[in-house]
Amino acid sequence: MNALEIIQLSKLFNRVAALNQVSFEVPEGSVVGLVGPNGAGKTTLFSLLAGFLQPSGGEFRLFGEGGERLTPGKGAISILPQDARFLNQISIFRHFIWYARLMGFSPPEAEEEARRVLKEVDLLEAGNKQGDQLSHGMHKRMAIAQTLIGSAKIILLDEPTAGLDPAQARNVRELVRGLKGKQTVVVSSHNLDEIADICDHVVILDKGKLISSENLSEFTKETAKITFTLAAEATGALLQAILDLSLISDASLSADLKKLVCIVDSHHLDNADLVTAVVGILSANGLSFTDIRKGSTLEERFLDVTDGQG
Amino acid sequence: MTGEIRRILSFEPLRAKNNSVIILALISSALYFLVIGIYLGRSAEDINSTFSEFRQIADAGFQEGELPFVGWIKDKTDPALRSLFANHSPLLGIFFWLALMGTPWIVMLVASDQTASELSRKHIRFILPRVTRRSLFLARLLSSWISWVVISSCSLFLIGMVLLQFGDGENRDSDYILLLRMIGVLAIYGIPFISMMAFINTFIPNAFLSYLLATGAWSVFWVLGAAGAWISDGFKFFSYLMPTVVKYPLLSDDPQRFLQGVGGVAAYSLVFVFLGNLIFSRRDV
Repeated sequence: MNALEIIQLSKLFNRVAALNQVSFEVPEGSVVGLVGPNGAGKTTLFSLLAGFLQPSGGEFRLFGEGGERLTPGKGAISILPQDARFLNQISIFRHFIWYARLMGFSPPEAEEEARRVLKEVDLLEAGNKQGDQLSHGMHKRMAIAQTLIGSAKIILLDEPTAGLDPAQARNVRELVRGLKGKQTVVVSSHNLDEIADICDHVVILDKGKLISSENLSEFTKETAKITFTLAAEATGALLQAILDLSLISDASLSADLKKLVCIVDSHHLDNADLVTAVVGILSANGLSFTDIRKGSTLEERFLDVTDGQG
Repeated sequence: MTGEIRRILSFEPLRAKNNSVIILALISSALYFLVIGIYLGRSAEDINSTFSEFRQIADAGFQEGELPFVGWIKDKTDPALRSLFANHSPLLGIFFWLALMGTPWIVMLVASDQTASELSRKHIRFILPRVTRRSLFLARLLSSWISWVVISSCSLFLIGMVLLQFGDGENRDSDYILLLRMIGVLAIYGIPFISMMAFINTFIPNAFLSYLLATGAWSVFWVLGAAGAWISDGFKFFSYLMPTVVKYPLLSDDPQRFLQGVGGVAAYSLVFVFLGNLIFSRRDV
């Protein structure tokens, strides 16, 4: 079942489309990466889904229900907004108790829930700090923690690791990985390695339009493309020998003649056979390889589909 | 929705305690009532003797040639005010009148940060996925009203009790009833102003600027209404743009006129709440 269905969703600001008739689906329990250049409409999309902005057109459905406007408050959706701040002079623990109360927890349950999520992000002791006493990184982690209150069915994380140090960013990635299968998570990030690392589905926006919404392995052509990094320069004869393989629909060499890219014929998607055949030809031509990679990197594909604007 | 409003309200004492605007408003209102109380306490003897004469004149049907102050009350003021001074403890009557005159300034300050700082800090983005906008809007309105009722009731009660000690003590039961009436009337009179601030907050996400706009608009309408009336009666229309027009009906001893005042309070409040909720439920945050 789809956790989220976005249908022709649009948002205009002063007649300029920040989001232009975007439609895609998010499967339940998946971790979806939302990527796009600055100004692509990622934050606008999150803001529409969380009910911060009113759509100019279109609608979205949560688990098949909903409509044009979201009815919040039932733990259906939680969000890490980019620029929201906690209130000064009130401890984060108190904030969290209140958020849990708003979601229907009784006072003792709310306190327990606040403690649980703080423990989950390893910030139980820092919970006594007030909104104005948090560093940027701490604030970000607290803001992520509040998305876990009440175990919302869909969690939207807008750039969750931006501004975090490497160790903190890794912890956040671990946290998101741990949610896979239990909750549906949509993560936006400029860090494409991170998206490739934690997501199983990728949605690409550019200038407010949907460019692609695919399973990550399909998007990166994991099963359709193999790149060999050669130890020495290849020759035209070697390339021709590879092109003659029936398993291959296309092959090319990089400018330095040290990268051989093979595109698998759509009728022969068994990579193991292809690799065996190519390695056989390489070895017959006295060449070895230092690296072999299936598909493209997310970054390469992203730059392909966004005309290099990433 | 009721449950949501209750849950939002559960956080309000903590929010109010840590909100400098609300603290400033509460202190200002307490000070305002205190200053009036001290002034009236110090002037109690003069006021009592002046009003003793006033009552005699009032009983005789407001003949010509009275004291200048009495003349002003007779000629320039609303009958509700004349009745208040003529039929009740003068100290409490003046306290009631001054409290009512100052209410808009104070109550608009008390209610100036209903959703403003939440919007400007975008803290509202942590709240909105958990509650409906309507619940948040109504809860903050209710919270401001509760704050106003608490501060005005406590101030009026404490200062009123002290002022009663300076009175002639002739009609103590009637004085107590007037004191209770004052508390009730101030609680009611604050509602349209709180609703107006809720409305203004929806498009000005800053408590101080919201207060400035409200008081500025009030001043402009007052000047246009009062000064413009010299030119044409049509200018009186401006006086009706602010809820202050209901204050004399609310002061009135006449039950029918009092109910008209309550009706006015309801009408102004409903208009502001309707407009505020309309904007708040549709605006981008």
